Amino acid sequence: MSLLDRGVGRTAALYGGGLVLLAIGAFPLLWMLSTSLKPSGEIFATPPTLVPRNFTLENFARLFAETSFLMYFWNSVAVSLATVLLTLAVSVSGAYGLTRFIFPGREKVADLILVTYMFAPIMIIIPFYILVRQLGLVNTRTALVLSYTSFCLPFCLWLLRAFFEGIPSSSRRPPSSTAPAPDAPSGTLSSPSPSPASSPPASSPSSSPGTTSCSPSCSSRRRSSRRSRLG
Amino acid sequence: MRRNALAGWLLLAPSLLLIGGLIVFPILYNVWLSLFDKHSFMPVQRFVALQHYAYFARDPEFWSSVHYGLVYAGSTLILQLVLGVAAALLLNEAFRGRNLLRGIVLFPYMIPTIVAVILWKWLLNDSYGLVNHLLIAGGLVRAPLAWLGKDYIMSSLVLTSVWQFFPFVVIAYLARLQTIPPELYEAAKVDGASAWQRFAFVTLPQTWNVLFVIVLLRSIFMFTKFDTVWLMAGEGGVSRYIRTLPVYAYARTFTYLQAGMGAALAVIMFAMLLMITAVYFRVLRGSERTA
Repeated sequence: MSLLDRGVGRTAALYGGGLVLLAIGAFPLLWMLSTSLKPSGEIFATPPTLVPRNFTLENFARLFAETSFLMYFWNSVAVSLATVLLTLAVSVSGAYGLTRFIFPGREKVADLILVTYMFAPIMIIIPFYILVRQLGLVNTRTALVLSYTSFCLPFCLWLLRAFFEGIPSSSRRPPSSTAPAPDAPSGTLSSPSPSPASSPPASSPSSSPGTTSCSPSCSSRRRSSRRSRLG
Repeated sequence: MRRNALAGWLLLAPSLLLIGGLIVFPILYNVWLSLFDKHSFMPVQRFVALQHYAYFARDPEFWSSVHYGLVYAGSTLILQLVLGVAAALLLNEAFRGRNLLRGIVLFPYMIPTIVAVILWKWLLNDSYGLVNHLLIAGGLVRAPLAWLGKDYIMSSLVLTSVWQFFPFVVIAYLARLQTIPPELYEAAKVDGASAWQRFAFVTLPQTWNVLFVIVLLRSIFMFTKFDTVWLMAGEGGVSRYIRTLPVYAYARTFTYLQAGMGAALAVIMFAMLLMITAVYFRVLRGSERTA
């Protein structure tokens, strides 16, 4: 667990480093919040103020009153919900099929998933647009859901496959297995996916990358087979 | 493990259908398109075989975008790794407020790209930006720096990208750190290993696998990164100082309306990544076995 030796030096290093990390992670966002609460005159003031002198909610009021913010917001919510549901349903069953059944060609499928990642998403857009036009889906949320799914699906499949491989088949039932892998070091790994990435891999592609690392470590005895599969 | 081909394929069918239709078909169409001189929106096309590829081999704009792409991907990758691994090591130690900090560190990765870019463009604004204000107040520079001008635009882009993506490294690395048995560190301590030696001889070997995956994924993502780069400069004058390959491909397709040329660039990019990945696997898998 602990890399540093106990003592005053350790405490100073930890809290000093923690403060730096806090500044890096939170300060830009705090600045954004502060700017959003300033009247337009103060935004351009020098010297800039961290805590707004003239606190105002005018910017937020204008957002709701003068723009179609709520409609855009609803678009985002609807599209992401649909994408998560579709991706989750498809990738859970797909990854399960890839890990729990042996059949010819399944290694090829796993390789294909990785290879699709090397194609810049921006260039899939043109052929994708043509496809969408032929399906008559131009300018619909459905088209957006499909395009998001095309970006998320390979990632989720890859992560979930690694995730399922980390859970021994015997503990497959009940489906949401919370039993630690038998070869996991006791006490350090309480569930198949260690925190902070404790969300199930597919819940959203951005919150899941932690699990990539989970399974290469969860079961060391599968390591060699996985590595050969990557290539 | 069951040997049931039909069930396996049935479970995979929806994934394959979607991947086939939404990714493989577009990629194949893209390869086919790269052999044609095609207008992006009009139904005009002419077969030119490999002429686009021959053109790019002598195109200075292409080579400069390869250069910028490598500089961008390389520098962001290294900085993300250093910052991310350092942050993960810190967050693996026990101290008050650790769980809160673990959550906060993920913020930059969770906000949308457009928000991250607007935020940093605002912080780096030459007249009203906080960064210039602090630099001048601290006596580090005399006059405001044009962070978004041609001299510093690449640095600003790298800064924004590292800030946005280092949490990926943190989560991935931290998840692996937590599974290292504490006994290993205790044993090393008994043997008199210093903190640095414990990192070099316990932590690093244990995390070699996850570093391998992180470097692979981050290189691919940074090399094909479009949104952050494009939003940073758009089509503006300074954009050519950060025009990486994906942005150049976009410009060919949507600015010059040469869909065939854009497609050829995508294929070249794909081939480059495939080669780099193959070399990466060969070299590192070899060295891993001996490690």
